Amino acid sequence: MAQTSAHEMVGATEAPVTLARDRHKTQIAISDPTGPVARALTAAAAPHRVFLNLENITSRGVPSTYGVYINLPDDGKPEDHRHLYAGLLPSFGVAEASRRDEHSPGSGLNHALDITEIVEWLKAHNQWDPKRLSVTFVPRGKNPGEVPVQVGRASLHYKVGHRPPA
Amino acid sequence: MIRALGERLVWHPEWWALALCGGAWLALIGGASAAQSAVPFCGAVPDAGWTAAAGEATLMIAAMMLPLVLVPVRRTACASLWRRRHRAIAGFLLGYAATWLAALAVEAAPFLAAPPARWVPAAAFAAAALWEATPLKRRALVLCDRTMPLRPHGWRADLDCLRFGVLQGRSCVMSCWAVMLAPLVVAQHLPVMAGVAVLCATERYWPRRRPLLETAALAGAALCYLPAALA
Repeated sequence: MAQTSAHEMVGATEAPVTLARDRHKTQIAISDPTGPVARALTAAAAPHRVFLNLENITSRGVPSTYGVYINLPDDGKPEDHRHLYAGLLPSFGVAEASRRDEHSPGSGLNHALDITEIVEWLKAHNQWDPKRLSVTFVPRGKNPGEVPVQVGRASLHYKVGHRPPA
Repeated sequence: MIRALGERLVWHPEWWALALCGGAWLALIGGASAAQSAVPFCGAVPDAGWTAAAGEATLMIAAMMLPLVLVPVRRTACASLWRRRHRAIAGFLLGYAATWLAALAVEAAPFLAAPPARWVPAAAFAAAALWEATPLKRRALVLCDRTMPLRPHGWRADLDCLRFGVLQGRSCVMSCWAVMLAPLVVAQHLPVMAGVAVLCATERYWPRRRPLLETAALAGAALCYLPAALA
């Protein structure tokens, strides 16, 4: 039976990030895929998707909302770069998932953002660095950063296979 | 057929943890059929030697405990770079097994000099049944789902895999310490090991709010050993 989809982790942050009042930028060093994803990518017109996984998101309370941007310039205003917006860092349920009790081990939440279109846009505009990706967390709302939130790891995954229907 | 199996193994890098488990069971059964004690470190260490005892304890951990960590083993592999995934699994298993070895050494320590007294098996099963019914056991079982971020490169990645193994091993010891005491102190090591392994796998993969079945099974085992204890 032929494999219809394959996925591979190609890079991740080296340290957890703590988000507070200011926006925070972190880097992911990207390795070339070496497993079946590499072979599938070389095949003609293999559809592939790129995911940013945000892992072990923890907080002691209900954190502020943060927008997640890919390769946002250091001096760039987020509202001027909506095409680089990947999605929101989840805040709902983070406090509960961070608490150790009889229902939860306290490891926090994991969340995946599909950044395929952003990566395609960056490639189309010659702004894609195959060795490095930056992830910027931009606080939103009235009182950002009152309750800090930690992201244990951000990792980049390639998935080769069929796109789900829109 | 072979190609399909190969593809399946590629996408399930945890396969060799399961293979280790199967190999450990075969070695234990082979050892028992050769009329040796399957787990000689209970009251027989001076004869068997410490190295042999550690080897047997490792077999016991591989046979009984590896099926319980297939999910975190797979997670460790999938959260690592492709070229590192088997190395990551090895690091995880090393940390996990080392934690269990230390725990078993502590549990077996009172019985190293002399075989356990006749009342010990019944007491061990009764203690396991009591522990099973406590909220602390429920919390320990939930902790077995704990995860941690793994760094992707170099010795830090190896260290994180090892630490994740220790973390999982600690949660597993907290959850299963009582029930793992029983195979150490009974004469019928292999059947009890098999029963305990099934019980541990049941509560890990089908957790319930009230573990009545597990508690009743352990209490029943305690009752079975009661006549020997009172004789």
